[in-house]
Amino acid sequence: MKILTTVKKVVDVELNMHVRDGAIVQEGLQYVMNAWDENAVEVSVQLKENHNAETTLVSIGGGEDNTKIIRRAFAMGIKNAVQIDDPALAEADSFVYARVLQKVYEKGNYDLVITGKQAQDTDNGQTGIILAEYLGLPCVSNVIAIEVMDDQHIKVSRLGDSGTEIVELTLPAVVTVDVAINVPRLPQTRGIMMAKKMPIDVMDLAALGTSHDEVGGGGPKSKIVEFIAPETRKTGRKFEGDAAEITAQVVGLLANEAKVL
Amino acid sequence: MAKVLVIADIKQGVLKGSTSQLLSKARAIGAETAVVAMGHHIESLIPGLVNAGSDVQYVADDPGLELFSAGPYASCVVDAARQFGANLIWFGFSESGKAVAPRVAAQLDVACATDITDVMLQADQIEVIRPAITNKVLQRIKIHTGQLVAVVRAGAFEATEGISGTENIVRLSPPATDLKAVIRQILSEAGGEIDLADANIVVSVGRGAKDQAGIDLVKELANDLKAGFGSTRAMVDAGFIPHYKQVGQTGKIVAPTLYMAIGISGAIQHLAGMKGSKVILAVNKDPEAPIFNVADYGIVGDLFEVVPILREEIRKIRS
Amino acid sequence: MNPLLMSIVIVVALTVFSRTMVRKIRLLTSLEPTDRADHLKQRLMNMAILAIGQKRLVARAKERSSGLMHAFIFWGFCVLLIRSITLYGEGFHVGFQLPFLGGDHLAGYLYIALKDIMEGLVLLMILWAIFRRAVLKPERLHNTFEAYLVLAMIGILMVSDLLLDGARYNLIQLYNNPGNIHYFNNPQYGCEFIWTPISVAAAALISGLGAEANTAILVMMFWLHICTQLTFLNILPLGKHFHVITALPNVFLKSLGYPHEKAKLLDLEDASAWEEESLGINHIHQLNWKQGLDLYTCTECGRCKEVCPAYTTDKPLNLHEFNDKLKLELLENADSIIRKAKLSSAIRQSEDPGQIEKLKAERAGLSSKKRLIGDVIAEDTLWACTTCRACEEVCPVTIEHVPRIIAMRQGQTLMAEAYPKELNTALKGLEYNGNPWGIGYDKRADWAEGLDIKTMADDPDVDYLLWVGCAGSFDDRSKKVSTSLAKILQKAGIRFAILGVEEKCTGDFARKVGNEMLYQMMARENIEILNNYNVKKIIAACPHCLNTLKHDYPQLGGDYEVIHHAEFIDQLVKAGKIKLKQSLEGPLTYHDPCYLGRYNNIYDEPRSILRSVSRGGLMELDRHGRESFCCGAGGGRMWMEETIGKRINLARSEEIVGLNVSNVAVGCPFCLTMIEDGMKELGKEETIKTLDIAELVEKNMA
Repeated sequence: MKILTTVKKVVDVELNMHVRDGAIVQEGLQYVMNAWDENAVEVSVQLKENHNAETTLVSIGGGEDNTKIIRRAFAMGIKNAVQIDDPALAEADSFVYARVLQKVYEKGNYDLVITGKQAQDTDNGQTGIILAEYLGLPCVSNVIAIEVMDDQHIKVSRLGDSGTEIVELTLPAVVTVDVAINVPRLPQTRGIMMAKKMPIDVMDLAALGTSHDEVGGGGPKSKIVEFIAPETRKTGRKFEGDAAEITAQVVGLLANEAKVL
Repeated sequence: MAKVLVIADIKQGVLKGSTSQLLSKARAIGAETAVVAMGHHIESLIPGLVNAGSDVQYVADDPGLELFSAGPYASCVVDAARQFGANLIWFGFSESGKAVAPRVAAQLDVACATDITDVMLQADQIEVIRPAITNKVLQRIKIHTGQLVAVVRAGAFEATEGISGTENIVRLSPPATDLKAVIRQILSEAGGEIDLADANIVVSVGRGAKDQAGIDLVKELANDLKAGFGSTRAMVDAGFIPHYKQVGQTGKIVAPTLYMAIGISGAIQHLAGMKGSKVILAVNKDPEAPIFNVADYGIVGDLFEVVPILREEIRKIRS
Repeated sequence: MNPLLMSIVIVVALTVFSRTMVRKIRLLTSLEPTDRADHLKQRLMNMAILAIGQKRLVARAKERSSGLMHAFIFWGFCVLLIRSITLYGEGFHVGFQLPFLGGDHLAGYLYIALKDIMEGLVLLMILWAIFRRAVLKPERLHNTFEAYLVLAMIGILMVSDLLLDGARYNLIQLYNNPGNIHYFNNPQYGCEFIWTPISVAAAALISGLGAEANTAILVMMFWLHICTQLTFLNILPLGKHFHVITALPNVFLKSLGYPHEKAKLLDLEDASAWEEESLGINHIHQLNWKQGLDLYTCTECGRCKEVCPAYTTDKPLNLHEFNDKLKLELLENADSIIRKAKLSSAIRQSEDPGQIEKLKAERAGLSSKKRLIGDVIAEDTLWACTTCRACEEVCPVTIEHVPRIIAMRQGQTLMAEAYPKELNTALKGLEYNGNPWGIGYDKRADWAEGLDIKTMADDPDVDYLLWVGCAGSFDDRSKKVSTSLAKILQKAGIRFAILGVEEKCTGDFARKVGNEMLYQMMARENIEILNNYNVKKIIAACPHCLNTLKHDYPQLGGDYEVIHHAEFIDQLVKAGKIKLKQSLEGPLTYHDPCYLGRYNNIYDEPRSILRSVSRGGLMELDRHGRESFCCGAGGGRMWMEETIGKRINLARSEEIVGLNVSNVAVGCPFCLTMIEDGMKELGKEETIKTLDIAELVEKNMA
């Protein structure tokens, strides 16, 4: 089984985000591997360990931070990496990413594409599903368990609205995974040391055999024009004292003042 | 004139509130409205679809649509969208919505926005507001395509009282089954649980509840209020509560009208998941707990003492 | 007596002994090297005080009586050694005397008097020792056949010598010395028997048996003594009594670096180390020779068990057993280890790649079949340790338990990748945001908002860097301590600054769980920042930070003068920069943090401060000072769940509750958390307040 795993560099969401003049202040920000992609990498590595799957990751973007997360994936156990680094992709949206991923997919012979269900910076959760549409492959999103049935089929559990949906997929297919699927391993020292020397196949769009026009498809479909800081909450009131008294008081306020009961 | 197609939010045979909320907003921006409903044996829901405020009802009622499957559902939506000529296609916030919306957008080759909290139409230019980076910032996004597929955040739009629509049923032909993604079964959540993302009121429990007995106590409160029941990561990690009920940075991000944090200290990761709630009530034994920094109303007390009193007081107020 | 027989007996005994010893020593020299040949004078002092002086046995208030018991046996032994040499000499030449100890010197008489009394004393001690073991059965003692055998043999040695002298006495004084036995009889000092009352008393027991019997007894006791002694000598290396021979060298060679010898800095880039699996201790042959000597020297006294917080709360960390199991594994693999060392030497000298390959292959096949962690030592055992050093504090032969455990953890973490995975959250937090909670590094200085505290980035021209630490920066309870400390420093007019968001975890817990990579990463980053700001003096509120900054960072180029906040406050008080008033009501006690006390020798300054603020004085817990009982958080255990046995912090909290105090003072954020949690669990958080020294000072400053 050949697996293609996507990993994205995102801003570390533990940090505070400051907005100034409609943009996010970049100073002091650090970048890490998207949490959901860590799960995707873990899924892939487990399939490698248990089913001898071949693992390849694809990452779109350039710079030291991007290389860092690719090396992290290597340290976790991914064997091959493709990095698409092209300045034309700086303003890409989910659709453009999906087109680029489509090109990467078509260059190889993959049975399964695994992505995290969303990225922590955009929280869109679209790219994997759009990719499946472009590739004409079956897709299940929000997956919390994967079972290999045979060379051609996998069974996945999906967190749906009414419960857990059990779906049988015929490969090749696309799967987007949720954090509940596993606990990603921490890269160990030996893996980290070896990851330093592993080769990354870096390509721009031309080397990928495409162009910005082809993947851009007539310009981005949307553009972020402004970032806005969310309203800070006003400090509330704290009530201490006799439990019966203060609880009654608060319930009254909830009903009459806040009008939420 | 804008034309809004709302995807009816049907869960276990019941039409959910988001449908009328979305339709109300559509009316508010002066759009023509239509709704598309997929499922099996959903005939009885049609009056509800009309009353929610739709002028056209696209109905796909087929055994093959009984269980959710993203492919076929997307096909129905695309079919309805084309027939209606919709330029705005809105899904309520649900797992199905999130799974189908991108497909629809890709097939129609239009923009897609998830978790929007507002939509503005200025002379054919569509703009949306949505949160990003785990609720830490808001984005104002200009849509370049003439059409937009969007998944709307729970509770973002308000339902207007007394709105109604016109009956105008269009039956859609059943879509092809997705042979490559076959849904075998759905393991239901225990007895009609309320969806966290959907709920108007969410009651969450934290480490202060200590064990199953404490959790059950808080759950009773949630049941009383017909509220969604959530939890912090601590209780999930301790094995008491399934992961999909976790509210927080790596769990669900909710923004209900009322959020009750019971026995929750208020770690940053949890706050990230519920800070957007309209009103926050916190109950905690420790007066210094960080949760009190975000709570509108904070009760300092032992939850084992306070929760029964809360239930009693709420019962009194509601009767 | 009988030179031929003597010669044969000695030659046989010494040959066997030499062979045993040579093998034992060769095994040690086949282990990894370590340098202990420095500071000879200090080493001799240690040996004199700890080994010969038996300091840890007799100076320790607990168990002083049994300590004295052993001390007398040991000192008796030392004294009697001289006597033995004389006896051996007598075997060859009757009347043999050692120079200056002959019958013409006062020294000789004094010696035989001393010898006589010691013999009696040792015999009494032996009888008491047997009684203790067999009847009183103290829990820490490990009752084996060997223990009783050795006690019995020592008893026999005493009895045989006493009876020998007794028989001499009888023959000389009662039976007119038919065999013309030599004895001291100097006009100035008198007859030797005036000086040896105990031998004379022994003589009385057999005086009635007649001259022939006495002569027979004399000869029998002589040979009994010699043979028992030579047999004893040969039994020593076989069990715990090897310490008789190895204890003095072991103490002499003990680590001088305080608290430990500088840990070996692992070179994680060294490919051959990965190949040979020599990062940390993964196999028994990777112990260094001093660690091997430690194993030889364990006396199985069990004092370590008694003070170990893990053992006393039912965790499977039995240090004596730990030593024992390692020793058995070492001895079982002795041949292989010796052969390995020979092969390594040959590999180093060879220039022929083909031969080197062959030798390496042979060497690889010589590793023990047992997994060191897993088969020899259980995993739970290894990870139960809180690195508190209570064991090292009481060990009479200065065995270095903790560095060995940490080295084994290094092996587990780096090579086997088998460590408690619950540590991952904390380790990841360190990697991403420089703190074990993983909270955004940009919030590290939030606690200081509004307190008018400078950061080094604002102005590096200050006298002191205040190292806040992760707990002090992010833990809500500990932030209060940071605030108190800052206010005290400001009141005293100290020019200080904090690193703020540039500060990262010192890496202490990463190092203690064996994650050298993460530790070195944190250390290097911190040292670079500290050196860029030219920091010279650091005040630390956390003993773990203190310890790492002070003792570990120099190895990586970070040399700073580091002082704990309690020390510093004490200095401020003594310099008159702040004044304390005795306004704290209620009985107060102090819980010595392990990393402040046993790791950094700071016991008095906190007490001095606390006495100055407490109206009710300071009460001491039973286990206080050097023998303080760990709170349970050290060694990375703060970040692990305690699932076996009773919780350590609960045990300590119960002890504190038992003292009936209103306040307990601590000097460490871990202790603060653990003890406060313990109080909450016992329902005592309202009646007993847990406070840091800084908080108590701030509340009680004039």
